[in-house]
Amino acid sequence: MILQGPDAEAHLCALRALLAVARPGAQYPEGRSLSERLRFLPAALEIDPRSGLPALRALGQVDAERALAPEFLEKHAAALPDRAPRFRALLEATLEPLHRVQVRLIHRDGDTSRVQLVRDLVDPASGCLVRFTIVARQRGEGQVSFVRGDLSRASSQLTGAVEEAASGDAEMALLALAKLPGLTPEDVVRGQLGPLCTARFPGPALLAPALACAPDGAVLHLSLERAGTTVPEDRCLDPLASLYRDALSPEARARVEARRGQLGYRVVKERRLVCTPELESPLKAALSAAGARLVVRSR
Amino acid sequence: MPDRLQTAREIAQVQVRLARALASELRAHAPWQQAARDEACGEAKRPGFLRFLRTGKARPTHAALADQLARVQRCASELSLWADRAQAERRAAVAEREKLESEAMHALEAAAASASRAGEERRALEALHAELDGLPTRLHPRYAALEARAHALQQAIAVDDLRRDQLAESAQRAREAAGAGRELEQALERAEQTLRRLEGVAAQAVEQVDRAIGAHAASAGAQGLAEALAAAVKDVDPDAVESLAQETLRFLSERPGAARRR
Repeated sequence: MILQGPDAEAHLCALRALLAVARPGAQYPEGRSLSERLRFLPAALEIDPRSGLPALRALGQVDAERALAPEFLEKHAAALPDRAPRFRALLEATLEPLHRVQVRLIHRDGDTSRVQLVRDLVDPASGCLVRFTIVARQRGEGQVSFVRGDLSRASSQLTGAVEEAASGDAEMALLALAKLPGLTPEDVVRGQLGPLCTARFPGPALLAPALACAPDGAVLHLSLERAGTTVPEDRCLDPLASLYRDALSPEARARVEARRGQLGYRVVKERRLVCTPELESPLKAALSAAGARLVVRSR
Repeated sequence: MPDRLQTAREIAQVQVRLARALASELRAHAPWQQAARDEACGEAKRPGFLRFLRTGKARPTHAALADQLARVQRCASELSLWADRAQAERRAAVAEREKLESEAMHALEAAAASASRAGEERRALEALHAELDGLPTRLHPRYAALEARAHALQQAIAVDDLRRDQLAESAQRAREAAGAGRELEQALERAEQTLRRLEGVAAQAVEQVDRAIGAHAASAGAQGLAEALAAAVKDVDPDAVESLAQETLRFLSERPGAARRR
């Protein structure tokens, strides 16, 4: 869906304001970088109707233009002077890539190492921005090698496996990565920014009564899932999600439960909502009426 | 003008490079074609576009598609930027040519005014000569004054003739430069049209890849994407772009010599 003029500006303003209130932590995609990226979106704003966020194509266009900025300033600035300020600003902006896999060494002791893998992506299934943070123990250097002792380098097989594992939820990612030889995932966190719900993009039915009370309001969802051996117990605190295992057939579930027993992980899911001030009371009332316990903040 | 010629040459070279880059990017549809072949053979009965590429060591579809989207978007943006540059150069060339044409017109007008003035001066000189011829002797009291006026008039006519020649030459030069400018404008216009056409193809490819990313969870056709990208390669036709650019480069290579001769 394309938003134009004041509608687009209002939508982006709401998103920027909610990101400033939410201050998403390291387990989520970079909120400040997203906010910075929003400055460069075109006036005709393409919105992904599933997430209420700018569409991947619009977000990616910013990267495409940024990549051209040095060439523009060198070759075209004199001939196209009206565009020079935009390209200069693009070059100076702190933008993080939308899609990437990063690997970092946490600790190394002889043949055993503990590494952190971070996968950022725009989830193709929901249109939301997602970050997977995986902490894994490695034996040998089959998946991550260490140049000069501490510079981590992921094998292309591991990069591909992380990209593939990061297409579901945290538990699925942990199960998928546990298949890799020499690597034992200990903790997988999935942080998601979005959806952004407004009267135009209402999202889950649970929020509909609140949005009806304040049609100019907006709600940003921040959901966090963690699957790991240090999670004390399985808990789904997110009324809009369910555990992966709960959706499986009895046979498939038995297999997953057996694997879970071997790996010793548990899963917790939670969600918090950040909304515009006029929506806070109606939203809390609507959630309370539905029996959903969620943290709601507007400042 | 030499700067603009250099820019036009660069634009012609860039359009060939970008056409090749775009064609190569669109040809990177091999994974989707393989997936489509598997689909046709009934090898992969499992639903979902995503699963086709999970069998081998290929990257997951959505990651590969996201990278491809970024590359095609970069290509489209670069094409759009160079098309805008070609347009800006063409507009500047038009303004420059119109200025040259206006200069040529003014020079011609000044030359015509000078010619008409020279006609009157020659007639006045002939009258003076007739008057001098009518006097009985050179010692006549009016002879010296008339002779001095005739001499001054002769000198003025010579200066005007020189000035008129200069104006005519300058008008001729301006007309030639305007003619060359017109050819340059046409070269820039062709380059802009080619770049805009390629930009359109790239934009369609962006649309296709973006749609494939959005639809991967359903069993969106790998066949559809492979076919669309293959058709887009035909639309790019880098060889045709290169022959157009060669034509422009040939024309431009003749221009600096002409400019130097002038």
